[in-house]
Amino acid sequence: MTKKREDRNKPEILIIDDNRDLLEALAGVLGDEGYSVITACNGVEGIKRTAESAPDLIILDLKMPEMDGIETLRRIRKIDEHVIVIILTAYGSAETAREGMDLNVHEYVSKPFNIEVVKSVVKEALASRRKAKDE
Amino acid sequence: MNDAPYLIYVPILHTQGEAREIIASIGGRGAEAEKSPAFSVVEQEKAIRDMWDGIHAKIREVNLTYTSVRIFQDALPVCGREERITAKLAEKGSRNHQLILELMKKGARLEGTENPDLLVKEYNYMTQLLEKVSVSHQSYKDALQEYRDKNMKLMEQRDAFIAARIKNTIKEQETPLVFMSLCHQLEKLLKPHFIIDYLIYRLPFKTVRDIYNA
Repeated sequence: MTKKREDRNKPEILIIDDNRDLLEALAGVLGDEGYSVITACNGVEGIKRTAESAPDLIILDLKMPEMDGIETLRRIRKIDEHVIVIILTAYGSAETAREGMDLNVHEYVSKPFNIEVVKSVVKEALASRRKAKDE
Repeated sequence: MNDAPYLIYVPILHTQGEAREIIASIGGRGAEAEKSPAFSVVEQEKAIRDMWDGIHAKIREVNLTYTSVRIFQDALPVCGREERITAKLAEKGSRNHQLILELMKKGARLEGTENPDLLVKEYNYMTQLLEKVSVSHQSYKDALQEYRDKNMKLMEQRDAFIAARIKNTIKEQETPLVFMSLCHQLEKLLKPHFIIDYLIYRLPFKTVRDIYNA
């Protein structure tokens, strides 16, 4: 189990996606929103980053080469069972959605997505985590 | 398999309030049942409303030939009162059922989807579970496990009925549009007969987890 760094000024978001253009665009938008953003372009790197950085929230793509998003998430859950995970995918099915739900995914958003929706999902997810901590 | 007809599958989530209204609409006492205290109703309703707004927009983008669309809806019994039930739920604010009415106005047809006896059985299991909420947390947890065990078998029966219903009522050149909650597992039953095209906008799991994955 990882421990979040309490001295962190900004919430840290890890984005895991093999599409580098999307990775950079999303990192830019969320960075502009005031979050600290780190990225990984495959599942293995994403797991490593999770262990190293203990992010507050992970945005994960489902369809990635070598290790897919669900397997990546299974392994992430062994490192951090509480980190907020949002799935962004163009290949959603009811089956993968159910798997995501079992793996405690916060929200499942299909691509192509509206960036305003992603911004609001991230904001609400972090706010609900803060609220739960305060209670 | 390439000649198989397309089926549009929309995985959905309902708030617990909507679920109770749906059960009440087929004669149960769903609307009177105790509320589970474990979630925020306001957050749930907002998340579900946003999800339905997205589904409405996505369906419009698909450009369906509505006169060839046959709608199958989770928890809608085969009873001869399908349209009345849908109109009543739409009137009570269900975005799901409002969308069905909108599609019907454009020419889509609505089909009774579920076995009413199985729905009543599920309602009874749910009522027994909710009665335990006010007793103690432990008794609720025990009852929840019992509910899950009984419900798993029931869901298999419901899914088998729904899949057969879709297969047997759909006509040549028609497209089934299936609104089905995530607790159903229809895919394996439908895949031999249809090419499944999923339509998902967003699924706000966290705010409705108490219903589906408590």
